[in-house]
Amino acid sequence: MFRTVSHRKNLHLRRMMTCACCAALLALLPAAASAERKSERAGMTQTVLSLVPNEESGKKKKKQVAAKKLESKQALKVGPKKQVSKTDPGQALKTDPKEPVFKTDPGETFTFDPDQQVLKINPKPKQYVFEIDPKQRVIVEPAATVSGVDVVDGVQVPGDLNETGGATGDPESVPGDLVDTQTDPLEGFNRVMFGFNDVVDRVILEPVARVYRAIVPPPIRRGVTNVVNNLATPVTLTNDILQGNPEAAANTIKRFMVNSTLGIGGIFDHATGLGEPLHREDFGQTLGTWGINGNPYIVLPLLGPSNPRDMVGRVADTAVNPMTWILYDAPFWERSIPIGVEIVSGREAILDDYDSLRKNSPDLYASVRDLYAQKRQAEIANEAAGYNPGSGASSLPPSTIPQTLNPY
Amino acid sequence: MPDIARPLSRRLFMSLALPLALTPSLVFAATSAESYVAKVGNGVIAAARANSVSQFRSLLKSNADIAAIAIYSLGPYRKSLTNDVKAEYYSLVENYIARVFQQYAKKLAGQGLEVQGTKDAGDSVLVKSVLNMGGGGSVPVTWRLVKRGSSFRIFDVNVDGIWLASTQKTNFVSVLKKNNGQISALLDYLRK
Repeated sequence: MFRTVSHRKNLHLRRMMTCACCAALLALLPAAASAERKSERAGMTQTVLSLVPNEESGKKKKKQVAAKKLESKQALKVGPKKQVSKTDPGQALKTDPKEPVFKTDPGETFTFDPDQQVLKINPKPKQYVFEIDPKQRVIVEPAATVSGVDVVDGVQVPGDLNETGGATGDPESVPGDLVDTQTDPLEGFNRVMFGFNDVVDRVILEPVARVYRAIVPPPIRRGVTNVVNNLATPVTLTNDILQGNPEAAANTIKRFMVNSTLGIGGIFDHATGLGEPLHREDFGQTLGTWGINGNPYIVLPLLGPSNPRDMVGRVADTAVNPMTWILYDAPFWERSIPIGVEIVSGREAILDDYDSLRKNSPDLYASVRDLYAQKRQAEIANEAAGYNPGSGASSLPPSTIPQTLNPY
Repeated sequence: MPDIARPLSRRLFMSLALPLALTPSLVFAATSAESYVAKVGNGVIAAARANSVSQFRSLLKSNADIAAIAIYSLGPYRKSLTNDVKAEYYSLVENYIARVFQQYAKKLAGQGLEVQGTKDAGDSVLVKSVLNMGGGGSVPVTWRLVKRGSSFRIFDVNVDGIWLASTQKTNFVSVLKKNNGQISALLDYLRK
């Protein structure tokens, strides 16, 4: 009886052990399957894992590899196989130091072909050695470093091509820019406005200026210009003072006194002959001397090239100009006379230069933008001559219609 | 006392001696640049009065750093210039500049050039001058010189606020931009 009971207990225990084993196996199976899937995703297969030192399987595979080595090279030529591992010489296959499986060359890799169950050796890729003449420079940067620039790797650049420029003491160096870069983020809009202004100029302004030149003799045209300059005295004087330039302010006052009296209301410029040459200042220049730059470039409809600094300057100058207040209540046509005279007179002064620019410039818009930036920079630095057509030379700039429209 | 006096006197000596030693060389550099500009300026006025492209070209050949101007004028496209077209490009640029000068000959045909001073611009020397025209008018002209060996070469000229090489760069870059940076297109433009 006792035996029967103990036998039953043993049986019960065995069954329990069996059940526990089955349960453990069942629990492990999904984990194993999951691990296999993960290893597959990582580019490894169960077969590849068998590369772990195993004497029999290792020998078998060695034979297979030896037999298929040539085939593997051909397979490489046909198309790329999945690269399973990169090995350092002899390391990956020498996990058991007693059994060095393969001797490999540096740079060789292995590929496992799951269809044929063969490990293939990928030969080391050929390495090319380039000898470079140290006297010559070679471009090694990507072709598209500068957008739109035709640069091809390997093109030899002459030794005197200096990318940065300005290396002092280098006899072959190219000096850098002295002109501040004019940014033009609104180029699309600006080009449209420029085209509109160009049409207005060709249809209205230029023909009027040509008629003005044809029918008004040069001494009278010069008188008109002198009057316009004399009327701008309050604006120039205000900005001379704001720029902290007492000498220039004194010059402006002297000119106004001489030309308004001896020059009969500014028609004649006797002040220049007395050693007081003309100079013009505006609030845009004043802001420039205070350190405000001229970016970004903007082309205004009818008014032409400008920038935020010069737009503010224009408003301030209009407020300072006494003519604005004298003619404040006058009819529109009366108010338009001073500005109209100035525009036509200024356009006539640059007729020849602008014709030449139109004829010779490969991109008129870019040329005008560059000239405007340069001219304003020179005016701010007081390095340009005053607007004085009488000199016969200072009409080189403004070279732009819009600047003609800009009275200053 | 002697311990303090000795280093002080040495410093004093150095502070006095260094400027004294450098001043003559700076003055010499300034005066040589100014005399160089005076000489070239007279040549330019003579060529402008003659209204001659060949005279301008001769002046450029002997006084301008054509290679530097030509490379500068390419702007960001300077790497497009290869050795095989370099010589032709330089020659075309020289001719182009001579024609530009001839175009402005009327404005450059002044009575004389008055050199007013020199300014160091780091990588170049700026010489300011005034071109005196007939009838009391004048045009400010600034010459940008680069040191080449023991002499100077003209790199750029500013006439009344406009740098000619900078304007030329704008034109060349416009041509290259329109033609995807093809240097052959620029050569065609310069041949016209």
